[in-house]
Amino acid sequence: MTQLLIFLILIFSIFAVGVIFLVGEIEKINWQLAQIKKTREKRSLEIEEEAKIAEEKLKELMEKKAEKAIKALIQDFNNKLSKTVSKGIKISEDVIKDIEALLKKQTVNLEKELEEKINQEYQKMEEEIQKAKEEKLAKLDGEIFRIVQEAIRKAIGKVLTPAEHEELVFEALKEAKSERII
Amino acid sequence: MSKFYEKIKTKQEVEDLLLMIDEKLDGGRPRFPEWVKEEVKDEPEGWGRLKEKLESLPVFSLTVAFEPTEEFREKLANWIKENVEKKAVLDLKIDKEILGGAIINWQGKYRNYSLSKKLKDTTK
Repeated sequence: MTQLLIFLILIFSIFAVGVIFLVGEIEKINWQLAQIKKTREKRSLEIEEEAKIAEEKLKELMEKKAEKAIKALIQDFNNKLSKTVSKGIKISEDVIKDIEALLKKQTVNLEKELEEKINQEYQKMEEEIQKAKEEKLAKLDGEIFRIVQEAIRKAIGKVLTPAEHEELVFEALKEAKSERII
Repeated sequence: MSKFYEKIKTKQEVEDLLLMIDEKLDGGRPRFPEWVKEEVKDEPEGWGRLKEKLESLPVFSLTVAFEPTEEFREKLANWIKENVEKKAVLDLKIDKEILGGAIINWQGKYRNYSLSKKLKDTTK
């Protein structure tokens, strides 16, 4: 019995030692787990921090690169713009030259046309003036003739006697006879 | 020269005579000069014949600038019969605008011998 008891005690002691050992091991594991968790959390924080730093660095890098690219782009654009402007200026100059030449040609033609037109108008005007002058002179001549004729008419009307009239009629008849009109 | 052509000298006389003949043919009793009666010879067709003869007389148209006397008209008519045509009758017109001289129109020929024409020609 004692033996059994001893045995039981022994078993029990072994069991107890085992339990203690196990508890100790569990605690150890738990501690280790806690340590691992801690380490993991720490690492996680570190990674997070690193990621943040990396992100910032990346961002910074990207910004720098972007800035550089933009600068390059701007530079390129400026170069192209400058070239284009130069080319544009050249084209503009050519166009201006062409326009100038065209204008000059057209101006010359226009001047010629204008000169011809002026000459024509001038000639027309001169003709009209001449015509008006002639008409005026003819009118004046007619007027003078009318006045002179009227004066002579009045004079003849008063001066000619019936005998002279008769003589003139016979003179006319004789003239007609000599001209073989009658 | 036939008596008929001697007696009838102006267009006015022709017209007057034609009116009288018409009156006679219409049954009237106008008083004709003796030479007309002699011309008709009391023949029925005598008046018609005379009418035709009168109508066929050539007209000598003369325009003068003054009012001529009967004596001058006579003188003119005689001159025309002697120097132009014995059958011609004078148609005398007066136009004081011609001033003097005469305008002659004979058988389609027209000639202006007026003073106004000469005046116009000289002042041209």
